[in-house]
Amino acid sequence: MNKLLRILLGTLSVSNLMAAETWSDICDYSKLPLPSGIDPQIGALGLLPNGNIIAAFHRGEVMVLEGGKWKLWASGLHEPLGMHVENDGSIVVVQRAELTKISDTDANGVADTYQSLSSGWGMTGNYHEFAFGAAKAPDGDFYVALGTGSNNGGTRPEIRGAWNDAGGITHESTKPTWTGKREKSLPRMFARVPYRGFVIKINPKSGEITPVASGLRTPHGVHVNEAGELFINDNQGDWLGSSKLYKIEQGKFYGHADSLIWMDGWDRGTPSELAGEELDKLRTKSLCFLPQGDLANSPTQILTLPEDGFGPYGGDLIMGEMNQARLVRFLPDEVNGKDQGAVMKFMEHPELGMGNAKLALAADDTIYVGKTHLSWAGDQGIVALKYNSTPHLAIDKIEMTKSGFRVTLNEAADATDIAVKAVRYGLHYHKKYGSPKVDETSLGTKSINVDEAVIEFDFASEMVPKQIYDITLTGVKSDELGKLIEPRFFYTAHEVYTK
Amino acid sequence: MEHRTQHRVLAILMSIAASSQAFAIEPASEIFKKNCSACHQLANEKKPVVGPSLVEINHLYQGDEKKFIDWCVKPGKVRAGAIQMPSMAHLKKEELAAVHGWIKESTKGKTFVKEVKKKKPVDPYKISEKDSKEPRIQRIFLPFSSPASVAITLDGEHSLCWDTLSCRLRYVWKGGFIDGYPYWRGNGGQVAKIVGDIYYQAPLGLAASMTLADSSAKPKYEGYKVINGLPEFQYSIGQVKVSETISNASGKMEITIKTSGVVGALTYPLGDLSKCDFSYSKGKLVDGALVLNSKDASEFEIRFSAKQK
Repeated sequence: MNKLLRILLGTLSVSNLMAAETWSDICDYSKLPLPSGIDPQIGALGLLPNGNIIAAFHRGEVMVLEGGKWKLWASGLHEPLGMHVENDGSIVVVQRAELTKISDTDANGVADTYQSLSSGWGMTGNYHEFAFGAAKAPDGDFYVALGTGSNNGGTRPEIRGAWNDAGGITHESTKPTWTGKREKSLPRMFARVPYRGFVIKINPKSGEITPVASGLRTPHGVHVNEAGELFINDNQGDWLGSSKLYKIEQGKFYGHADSLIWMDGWDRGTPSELAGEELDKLRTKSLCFLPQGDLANSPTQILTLPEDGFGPYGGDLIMGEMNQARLVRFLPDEVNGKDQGAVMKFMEHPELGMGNAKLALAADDTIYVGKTHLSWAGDQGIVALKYNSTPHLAIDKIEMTKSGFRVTLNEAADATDIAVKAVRYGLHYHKKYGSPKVDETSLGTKSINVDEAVIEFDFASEMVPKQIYDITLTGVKSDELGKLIEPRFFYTAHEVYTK
Repeated sequence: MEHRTQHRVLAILMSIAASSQAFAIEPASEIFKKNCSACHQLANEKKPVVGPSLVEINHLYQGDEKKFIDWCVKPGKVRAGAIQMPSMAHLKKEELAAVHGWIKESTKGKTFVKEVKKKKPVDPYKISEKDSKEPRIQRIFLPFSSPASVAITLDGEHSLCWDTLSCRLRYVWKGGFIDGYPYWRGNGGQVAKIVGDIYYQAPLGLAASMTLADSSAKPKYEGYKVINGLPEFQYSIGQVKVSETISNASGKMEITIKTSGVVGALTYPLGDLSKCDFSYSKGKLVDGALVLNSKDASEFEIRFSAKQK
């Protein structure tokens, strides 16, 4: 290319002509039509084998978008919050009370069979006991994650499953009121009937339930990747200083207190009355935090982008977010043999809006986003974000080093103006809701090395474990691809390298 | 195109020491946008409305920064039917104070006028009069039954509640179906309202499920098929397979129960029948229950309708 022309183009901003510099340059936003006359909050979203969108709505309708028109396919579900589409066009939906396979057995275009695959989990009737999923494992079983109840609401006179009165809290003492539960002994979020606060595995043939892991609060995102690894995210609140992403292992406890009462031989009363340090010994840590306010307040459905799509993001784990106009991307790392990693904004489109609860992937690099609010912050309807393949500069990989981080881009960077803005802080693990940033410390950089696409920087101070590193790279650009599209990441350093 | 070949290694040495001095906080408008704007609007001009408007917040807290900060860190719940605000404990006091000041600024000249509440909130998605006459199956939180129950109407006039936990009819009513809006307008904190008058209610408690002689097996729900808009429930009691079909027999609620594998007697417990015209095709009434031998239990009907006043 003619040098003069290149300089000119550079002056005019490379992005406008060749490369993208903002998310709205690389993803095209559109809004889908809505069915008339029904509450358009989306509880579950999928794509049928023929590519048509299938959506389950707040009041239980399941509709198919066919040639631009919505057609009612099934109805009557109770708060569907996730679906898996089978190859034969039947769907497996999680309702409050049940994992249900819905099929059109006479092929007349309308579902006629609602088979209960499992209804074996407990329900107190508390509003906050949501059921999320349904992620299908490679072995054909389904994962369902069961939210805890909130002491802002009571329990129903008739419940499903045996009540656990650990700590002397009886079912009778939890009569419903709309306020005043604080004075009662129920912990803020409770797991008093079986498998609340757990992720469970369901065999669809036998209906048999295997509890997988406990310590969850409101685990909205439930995802199994092709390798069979299970990922779950959880919402900020009591025992979660900020929202978290977990890689789940069988038999582990992930930190939200009350479900500990189901541990074999539990005789220590109400778990949330114990000191945080005691519970800390029992828990398995997250992959990472999703910092409240700065990144995500309420993470939702998780999925893996296809390896052969989405440009530099192919194969990445992403998730939705309720309160902010963006999705979230996870970048894995391993330190001292333990999984941890970074999260950053993804597809932060100015028109996206809130309530990004449900995601469905189409073959043309489109992510359909179903929105809901259930009277919290959020929105309604379905929008499409299509990745349009405009070349741009992106972070490919983030690795912690002994004294800082190594960030690999998808293209060589111009080292001239690169600088690092960094702070680190901790979060409390406690029964109070959320956490302030603890001991927030700004970090000076000792050195920044740029070698083609790799930016490596060392801090002037030592790396500290159990910290969130909030890092923004400034001045990162490449001649061909313009400036780095998303320069800020949040790395959770449960571990740091020991010498 | 010219290919970029430069290979540059640049080491920048700096001597900025780590510091933990006070942080410059973000502009209040940014703090608000990130942490508050999802639920609070200037004047609640856009739906859905989640929390009070800034104009109202200013009205409540303009003279009291401490009270505002205290609320944000440890919010209570003072509005029935509204969700509770999550704690803003992750924000610094200075940040909350800045937001307090910013709210005052951004609502300058605006006066809070208390909205006169409509007596009854209107469901914007209420089904049409015509559609409401169709048979319908709706799972939702219902009163007087387990949290895993189903509301069914034959015609918008004759309706029943069927419980998937105890696998049985729980109650029957006449005069309408359900008003699900108390549940649907929120997050499930309320149960649906029964529209009409309940005239039959099955005995309470799980022990009142259909039972088999010499068996303590509890019913296990397996799902339903939809036939002409109404359900044919499937469940099992031990080895016995049961189907229970709800249908409209000239305005009467008819339940057809078919079983396979019943060996001894089958007992179907009944509640108070005084407000109800009740009939059955087989078996006999013994101590408030319909009792059938194994042959009769293979298929029988029970019918309910409200007694004429």
